[in-house]
Amino acid sequence: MLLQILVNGISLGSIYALTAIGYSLIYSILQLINMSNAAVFLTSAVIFYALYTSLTGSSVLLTFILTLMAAGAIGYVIEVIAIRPIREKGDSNTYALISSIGVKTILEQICQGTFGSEIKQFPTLLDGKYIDLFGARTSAIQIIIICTTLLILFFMNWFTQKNRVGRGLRALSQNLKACHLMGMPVNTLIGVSFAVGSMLAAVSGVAYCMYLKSISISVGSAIGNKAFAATVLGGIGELKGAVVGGYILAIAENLVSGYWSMSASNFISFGILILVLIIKPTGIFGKKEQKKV
Amino acid sequence: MLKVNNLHTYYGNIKALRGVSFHVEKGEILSFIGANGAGKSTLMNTLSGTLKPKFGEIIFEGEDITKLSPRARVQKGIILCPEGRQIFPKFTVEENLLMGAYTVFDKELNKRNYDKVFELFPQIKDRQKQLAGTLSGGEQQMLAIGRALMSNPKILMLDEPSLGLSPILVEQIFNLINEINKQGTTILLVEQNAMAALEISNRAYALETGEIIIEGTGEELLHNDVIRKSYLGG
Repeated sequence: MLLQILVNGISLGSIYALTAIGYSLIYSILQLINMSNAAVFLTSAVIFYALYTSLTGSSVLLTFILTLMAAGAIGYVIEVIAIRPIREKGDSNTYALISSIGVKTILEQICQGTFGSEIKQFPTLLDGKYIDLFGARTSAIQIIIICTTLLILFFMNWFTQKNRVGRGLRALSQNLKACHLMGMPVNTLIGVSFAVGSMLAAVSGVAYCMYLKSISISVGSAIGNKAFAATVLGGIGELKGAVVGGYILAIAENLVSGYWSMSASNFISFGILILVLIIKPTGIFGKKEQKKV
Repeated sequence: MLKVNNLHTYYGNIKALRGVSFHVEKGEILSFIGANGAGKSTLMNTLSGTLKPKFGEIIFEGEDITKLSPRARVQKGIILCPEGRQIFPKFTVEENLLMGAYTVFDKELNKRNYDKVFELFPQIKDRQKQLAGTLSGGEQQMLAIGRALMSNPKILMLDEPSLGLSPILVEQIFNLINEINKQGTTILLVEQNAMAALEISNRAYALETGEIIIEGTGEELLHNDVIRKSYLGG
């Protein structure tokens, strides 16, 4: 029983973690909670569905790659259209936050308009195949999700530590002004951070719908809000915090629904969110900023 | 090399520069001295492109760069090592230097500049893998200058490099600035520590409430009565 809960928790946690990284990455650079992230989660799943059912039905991989590219482009464009003008005027982050909520609503409306409001069947991989892992029934798609997430986490670690662009993103999160002065292409890099966050949300969105084998219009805000709670739990602005927060939250939810009740599990995420905000708003990994003068 | 005409810059609603005109010759050390709030940092930020002037023009090697982004200016060879050092505290010394080379794609050149920085600043050579935030103030200042040098600048602008350093370190930093200049980089220096700045400068300007009030050689300003009274303590 406990092992089954852990397997389910880790699968769901992978999905939270990927979306949570997007929130954390952008927050670390702009101190902005990019609410449009949850809508990109939904939009990507809808794009995947639309491509798969109309054009590329023969190949899940091709559909996935095209969806990723579309999500990256959407993220970049969101930054250019809705965030950059506010940033460059030097207006408060609250305006950018509200603007990102506007983008979220618009994307959700577009999805609803084109996709409709009913639940539809979503393509999945290796349907009906299971592995018995010491008594825990682990479906093939769960294993695929967990392995893909691990690969992405390794890639993100390499990207932010060793890659010129990824390192640039970390530099932005430490001192934006110094980045301007060093001649770094700050605007492009911020756009890239939105593209990366959106692509992670896309992986997460497609994976979640494959896991459920269905898609509906409400899927984005349900997971998006929980991923946001996970980000806060781990310490917003810390990428590893987003990952750890995602797994803790999902395992906690599965523990509650396994040993207590399904409906109570939905309170857990937001209960934890409120508790963290009251007790330690900086989360597990977050530290108070200390600046040397 | 650099020519600035009638520069007016606002800082919020405050007029921080009121028609500043000057020129920088290739190979020299030029300094701006002045009290807090005289407009020195505003001038540096306007030259680096992080502040936009209301009027005036900045001509670099015959080209009008007034409207160029900070990045384009760094690519042309003007870089600012800012006040308060502004290093990346969570990066190692090595990573900080790599960020300074963000506009340079020539690997050979990067390697040469990297070695040159450690020749100038042997103190930080042993600390390449150390987080910059854990360095002492003097070492951070050296790192900040080194990081700027990684962009292979023609003009290195330094905003208050002696700020918060002990007298011995101040002397060391100014000797190093002299050394960097001798190796062929033109220096534009802004300092509250007028004595130290004037001693190494070929020419200098005194700035007061956003206007140049006196100009001359470093030597002349050291012996100027007004300067002695206002900035050198009599």
